[in-house]
Amino acid sequence: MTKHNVLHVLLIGTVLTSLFSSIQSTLIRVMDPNEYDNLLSTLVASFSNVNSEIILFSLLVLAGVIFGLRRELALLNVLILGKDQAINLGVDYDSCIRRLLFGVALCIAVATAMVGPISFLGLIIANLSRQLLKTYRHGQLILGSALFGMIVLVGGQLIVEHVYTYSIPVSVLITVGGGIYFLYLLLARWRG
Amino acid sequence: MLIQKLTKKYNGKAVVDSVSFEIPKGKVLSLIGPNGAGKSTVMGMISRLVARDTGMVEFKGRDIGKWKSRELSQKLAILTQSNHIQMKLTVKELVAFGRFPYSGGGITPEDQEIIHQAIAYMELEEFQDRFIDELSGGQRQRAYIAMVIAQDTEYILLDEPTNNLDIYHATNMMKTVRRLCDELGKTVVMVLHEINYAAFYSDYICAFADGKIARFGTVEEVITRENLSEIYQVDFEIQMVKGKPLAIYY
Repeated sequence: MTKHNVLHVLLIGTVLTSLFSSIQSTLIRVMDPNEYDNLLSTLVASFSNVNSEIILFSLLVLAGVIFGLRRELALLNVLILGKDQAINLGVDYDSCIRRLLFGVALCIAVATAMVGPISFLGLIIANLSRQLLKTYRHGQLILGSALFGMIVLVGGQLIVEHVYTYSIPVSVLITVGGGIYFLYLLLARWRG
Repeated sequence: MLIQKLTKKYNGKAVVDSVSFEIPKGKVLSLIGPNGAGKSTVMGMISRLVARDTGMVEFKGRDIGKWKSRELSQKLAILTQSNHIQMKLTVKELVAFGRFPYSGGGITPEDQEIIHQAIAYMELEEFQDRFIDELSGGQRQRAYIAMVIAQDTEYILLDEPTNNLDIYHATNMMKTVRRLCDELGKTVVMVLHEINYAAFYSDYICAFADGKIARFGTVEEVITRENLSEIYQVDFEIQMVKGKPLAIYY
């Protein structure tokens, strides 16, 4: 797989997303409108409607991933030096990346199963962490991300409850906020 | 370290064609030749960064593919040209990575001492707490060399270490390579574009052309008018400077 590039995997993922979205849209068009309303509420991520039956199962999966990948997680810091240097320092790069990608896929699956698709949030939080915590150490970055994630979600939920009184789902707020944040990042880079 | 019949094909064309040579221990060997002659690919295959199609690389009596990567990284280090990371890493933290093959993530007091010595050897003390993305190209290259020194390997492979360095830093880099061999007893293999750095600072030269070895020998044996004209397809004059043959092309 990494004879090419890990980025190719991301590109394939983007293409598949478009494919499945299109299939999804087509199915929606031929659906009964009432059934569509029911479906819509599950398609959009909603934190008021958490799938609480599977919390225990999700925690077990997450614990399993962290335990199963403990060696690879310790290598995360070295991986930032790039493929050549990681191999120079004795890391089995291909195997490591493959396993980490699998672990990430599992974690995202857990999150999606609990609340719905929230991939944009992950992107925002990862960038925010890197920017605010000026370090390469993944231990700190991951903990920081978890913390920021909690702040953003709880804060977002509070705003939705008290300012907007549930009229919009949290994910809309996050998407708008995230979009503004990314525009700011682009402008900052363009200027500097 | 023995290299036997290394071959690498891209799209059916042999970029490296049955290359065999032995790396002389405790000496500096430079790989020179025109672009596309296969030098960097050979370096990649020797260091296990690039997969070989056929051939064998024997390191200390064992096929390099049979070595555990962690063990190998304590004996063989490679520095390629792809060193442009964007992370907030200080010079000290970068050099500390050189101890990774020995101590994993944790740094022992012995490691601290070695890191300190490596930084001092490359005269980086005043920069050691600065982030590497704030350094100049020359300073960053020195930081990476300090990391390789901290890795404390018998063999060091350098892929065009003087690229992007101005004359002052490139010359100092060559002087440092010489010191690594003479003072610390390391075996250094470099891919170099500048023939004269190769001629002045190495003990042996391996000249490549069209994926094959054109000449292998001591500096005096390889750096001759006939050899270089044949390899580079241009005219050369050889001039002795401080006892070394330097090549003038025009």
